[in-house]
Amino acid sequence: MQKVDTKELDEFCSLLFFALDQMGGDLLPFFLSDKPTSYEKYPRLLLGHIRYYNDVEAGYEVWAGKVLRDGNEYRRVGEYPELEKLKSWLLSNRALFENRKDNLNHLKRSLYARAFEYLYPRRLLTTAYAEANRGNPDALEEDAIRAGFRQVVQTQIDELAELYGEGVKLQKIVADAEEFLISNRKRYAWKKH
Amino acid sequence: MSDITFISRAAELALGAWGLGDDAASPEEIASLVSDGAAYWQQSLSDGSHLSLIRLFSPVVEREEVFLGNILLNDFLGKALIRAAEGGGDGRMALLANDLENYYLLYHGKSSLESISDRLRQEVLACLPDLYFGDEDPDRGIYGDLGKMLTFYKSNIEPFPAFTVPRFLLPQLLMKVDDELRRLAANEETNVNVVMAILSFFYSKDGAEMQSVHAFLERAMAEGLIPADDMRACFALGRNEEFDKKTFMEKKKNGVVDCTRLQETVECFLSKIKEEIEQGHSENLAANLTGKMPDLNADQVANMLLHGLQIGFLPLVKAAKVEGASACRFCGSGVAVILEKNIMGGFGAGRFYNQSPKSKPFEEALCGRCGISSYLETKLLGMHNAKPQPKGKDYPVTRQHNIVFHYGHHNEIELSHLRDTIDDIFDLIGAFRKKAFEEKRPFSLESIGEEIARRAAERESDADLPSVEEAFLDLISDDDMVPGLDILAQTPLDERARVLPLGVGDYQLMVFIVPRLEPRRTEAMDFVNRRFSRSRLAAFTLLALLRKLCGCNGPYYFQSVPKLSPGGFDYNTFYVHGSPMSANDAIKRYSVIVNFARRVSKYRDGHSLLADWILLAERLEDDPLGTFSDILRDSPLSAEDDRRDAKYRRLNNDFIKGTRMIDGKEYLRMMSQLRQL
Repeated sequence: MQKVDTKELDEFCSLLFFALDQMGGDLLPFFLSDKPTSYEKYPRLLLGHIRYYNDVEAGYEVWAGKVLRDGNEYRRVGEYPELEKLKSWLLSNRALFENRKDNLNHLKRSLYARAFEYLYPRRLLTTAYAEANRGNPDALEEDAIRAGFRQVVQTQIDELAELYGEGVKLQKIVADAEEFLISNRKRYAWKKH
Repeated sequence: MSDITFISRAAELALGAWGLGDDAASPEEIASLVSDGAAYWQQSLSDGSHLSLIRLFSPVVEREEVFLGNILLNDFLGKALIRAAEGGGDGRMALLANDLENYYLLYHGKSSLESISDRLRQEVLACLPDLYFGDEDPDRGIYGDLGKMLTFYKSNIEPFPAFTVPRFLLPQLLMKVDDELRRLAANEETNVNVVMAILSFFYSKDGAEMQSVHAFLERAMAEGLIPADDMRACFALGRNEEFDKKTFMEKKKNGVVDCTRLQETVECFLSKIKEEIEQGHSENLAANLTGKMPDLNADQVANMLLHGLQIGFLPLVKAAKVEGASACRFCGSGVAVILEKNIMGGFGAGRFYNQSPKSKPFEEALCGRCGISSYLETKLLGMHNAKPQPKGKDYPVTRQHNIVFHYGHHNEIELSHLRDTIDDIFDLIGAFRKKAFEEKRPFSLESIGEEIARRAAERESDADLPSVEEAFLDLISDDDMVPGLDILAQTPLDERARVLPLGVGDYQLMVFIVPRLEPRRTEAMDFVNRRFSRSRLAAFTLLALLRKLCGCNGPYYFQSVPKLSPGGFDYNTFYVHGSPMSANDAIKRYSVIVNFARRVSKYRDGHSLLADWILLAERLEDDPLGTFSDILRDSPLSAEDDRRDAKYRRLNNDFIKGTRMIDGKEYLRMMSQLRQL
């Protein structure tokens, strides 16, 4: 029996989730309390297409079309380097997916846990910032976010540091969250209770 | 690496005690002979005596119906050999090391192997009544108590393994049973059905009397063995009232029994019986029982017990072929001479096996050795009436158990302390379970921990806690120990774990006997236990607890057989399902998974939570992220989720503001731990 390539699949997932999150348009759930299917929908589609065609490139192209249609409008007309990066990674690692039902099945089974693991800390930070600035639209300006984000969510960052340490992983989480908050700042403009 | 220094140490002690320091081979040489599995080695000494290393080989049958009994029998034989070798006064013998089948003994003296073998046979024959009916004496390898076999409350199916007791031991058996009957009758809390069932089983004339207490009593009253008026008085019946079956059953059912009168009546009956037994009328008194006991003479019994045994290079009994007889159902090597009944063969008695097409159900299926092994197992663990399935019929069977072996440096005081600690844990858990049942609230280990901590807080200082509670609090606060305690908490309230030393010396092989785990209402009798014993993870958690309690790093074995061969008894190792694993690694690796599984598993009515968390832990080990996805998907993480519909429990109830979601950091922590395993 072939062993699942865990390390490579972890790398794939982080690229995939990052790409989806950056594309916006609810390709990954905006709220953590969303149904599990919303975490898995687009990742599953990609795996389904790759499996159907048994060809990474063909599967990716069909999936990318759907993602671009469903993603944020401003991203569609702009550049989308994350998707290109994902494509080039997939092409250089196509042996992981083509004729590898074990890897694909494993990924399909574990997608929700992986997506949750990726998304939870990021949404935790963005939500904490929005909650702290409820009723204060000025705090959701790009400059204000860049200036105050880390300070406002420092408690949550410290809690995450207990889990992940202070290293690159945590810094990436904070940077991703900050970027996501800036891109979607209008949706975080929550009214006061 | 296997360390054989404990063998050379034992040899050194023996040689030193015998004053053979310089003349004899070195202890290291002897230890390496043991490690190589030598059957016999001899060195002549200058004074005309010799020093020998003798291996006593006695095969073990790895079938649950006879396995434990077979081990006890081997322990008895190993100790009998030492007594036999030293009995002539011309030699000394010491046990160096043993596993379940091999006992390595060092002998110094002038006796030949043949004469030691003959003396062993004599010793076994002399101890036979004690082996069957004697009170516990670990120094002689005698374990258990006949009283544990006399707990049946009905005798419609044979509840006592009389089929394995040779007929010439009938008087001793009856005398011992009578003692127990006296004790039971004198105890006001004894269920009257137990006394009646014992009377009718042991003293019935035929099968009808055995199955009907009333029939037996009627006959006994008619023959004057039981005073009729006294018996009537026991059930509050007047002289003119008829002692018919319906009245008798009704009175018995409604508890209309005068215990003092019953005790007097039983005493009267027993004193008459005693006279009859002394006059040699045992077989008439217990005609039905006599017919069930095999008609074997002492020599034949000794041959059966010593079948397959080898002292050094000498086989003790030459295998004899019996025309037309089948091979034993359990060992396959002995000749089947003992009838197979549930009390010996368990629930599987009468079912198909390779030889069964040749014989009718419940015919001879066990050899003498397996028969006595089964008897010894029942004597140690006791019997009960149990149903294999919730809606099935109940059968008298030996109580089931789990066995853990362990090698360790433990003296008698430490062993006794270990026994007490395990008993204390059982008592404490039992008391809390009983309390929870009475108060109609769910029982959990966490609730015990909280209760003890509350008591401690009330007393303001842990120092005031009784030592048992303090020790328990220590255990329960250690995450690695909680699952093991959870397993112990699933054992029946009225049963206790046993710790027995097998062999003698400083470095002993010990056996922990843990009662069978109890199923819940809708589960088959061995459902939970089977799931536990098939799970390496669950086994590791129990071994981790036992290791902590005993406090040494000797090897532990679960569903594995300890072997005195290289790689078979390494320190700091758990042998589970036949494969070794470093104990520290196992505890570190599996306690994370098991604790998580315990915390998220949700109680289902009529089902055992233990069985559920074991299964979940196994799935988490097989496919961590896949199973984790399932857990997350079916857990009520969001405020909108219905907790009653969810398959798993939340890890906490702390909601994060603005997310309508519980704090998921514990899940993330678990995932990162799973990734590191």
